[in-house]
Amino acid sequence: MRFLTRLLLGTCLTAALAAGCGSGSAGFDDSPESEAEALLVAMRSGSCVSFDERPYCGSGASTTIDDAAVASMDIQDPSEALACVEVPDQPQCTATLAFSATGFPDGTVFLAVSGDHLAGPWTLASTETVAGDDHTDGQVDVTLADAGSMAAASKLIVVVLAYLGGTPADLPEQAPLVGDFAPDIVYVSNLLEVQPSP
Amino acid sequence: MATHPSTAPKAIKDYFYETRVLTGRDFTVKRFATETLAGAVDPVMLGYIEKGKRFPSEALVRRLAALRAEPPELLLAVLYRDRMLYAFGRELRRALHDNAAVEGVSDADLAVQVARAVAALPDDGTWVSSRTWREEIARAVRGKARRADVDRVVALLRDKELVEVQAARVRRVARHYVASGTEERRALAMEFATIFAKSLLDKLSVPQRAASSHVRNHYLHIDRKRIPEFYKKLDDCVRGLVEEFACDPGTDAEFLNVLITATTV
Repeated sequence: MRFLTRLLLGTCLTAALAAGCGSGSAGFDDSPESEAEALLVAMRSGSCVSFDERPYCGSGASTTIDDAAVASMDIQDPSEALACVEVPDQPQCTATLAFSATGFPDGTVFLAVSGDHLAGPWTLASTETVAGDDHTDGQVDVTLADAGSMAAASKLIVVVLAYLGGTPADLPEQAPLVGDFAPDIVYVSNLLEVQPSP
Repeated sequence: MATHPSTAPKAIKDYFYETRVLTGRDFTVKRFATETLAGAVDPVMLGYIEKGKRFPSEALVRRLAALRAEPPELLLAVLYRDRMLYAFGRELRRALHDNAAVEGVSDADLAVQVARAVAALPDDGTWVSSRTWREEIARAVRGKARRADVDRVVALLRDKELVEVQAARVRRVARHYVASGTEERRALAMEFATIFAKSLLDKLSVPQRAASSHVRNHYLHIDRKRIPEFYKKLDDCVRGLVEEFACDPGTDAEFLNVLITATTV
């Protein structure tokens, strides 16, 4: 009888403590169900995955534009932490990352956003590059606030946004999702480290 | 570390151990075999059964069920499931060229713990206390909640960037766990097999549980080229349903597994 009481008590306790009410899924292959997952898959695999009818690509991946032209982009993947150089008289510093794009149509505009986690939020970088010839080299200057408190290496993710038909008006300065910046194609860097310039 | 009852599926060995320990009379394996089970099993064999190294006979399971004042069908279903999973695990290892020992239900532990850990975080990505989350994971660890097991699950989810941990709080970044490597893939396959075996046995051999599982095969002719599109829509539909019904904290919740498989014949 005492056994049954304990068993019953245990069952009730289990139900009462079942506080986690989220959901999830598991499988043997990738099927991005959120933008963060699409970015993660692209970053890990170095390929392109489709999410919200938009290609999310890892550095070096090729993607088809208009069912014909093939474009690709390499984003710098430094072996050491990126140096964040202090902005004079400002509590900020700037880290610079290079990229090279191939096969994008003339006039394609490249912007970039950065964040410290795949879940966002994402902040628009000030630099803009316009594709000219078949090959375009560009760079992204990421301004990080509060350089003084950056004692050790911090995580940084840079996402280059390609706009095939020009940039939309009224782009936000910061947004929860990369998709909120309405690019045509997304290229994500590897997970970077950034630290104050000595 | 929390010592809440485990929510992981129990194997038949766990029922034997639990019954001996929870009778509250400090039974040793030998005394339990000779006094409570009236010599129906050799004490050494009972030790093997509790450790999962041998399966009990159906007669012994019936005797245990009588001791627990439960209908025998419930425990027999656990025994049948464990036997199926043992055989499945053995063949799966051959298919994976994996020489590790067959552990049966406990092979699925890692995948079960990962699922409970992900589902313990809110769908909307809001932050929750790391301590509370770790206690939820600990509940999915069968038997005593071991810090090393919880640490392993946390490290795995962080490594896969499925969660973000900051100081004393954690939030979910992504919801889909992809098993990689032999151990993770084997664990996930065993979890899937466990869910499927339980569903079938609920329907076929445990009338008391027939309503707790839903098993149905839908079939159709489909253009081969449209199969990827079909799978994508299937997944989208089920995900929408799952998120719609994922409950608010504090409700009377059951952990429901929705295993989907679609395949050409």
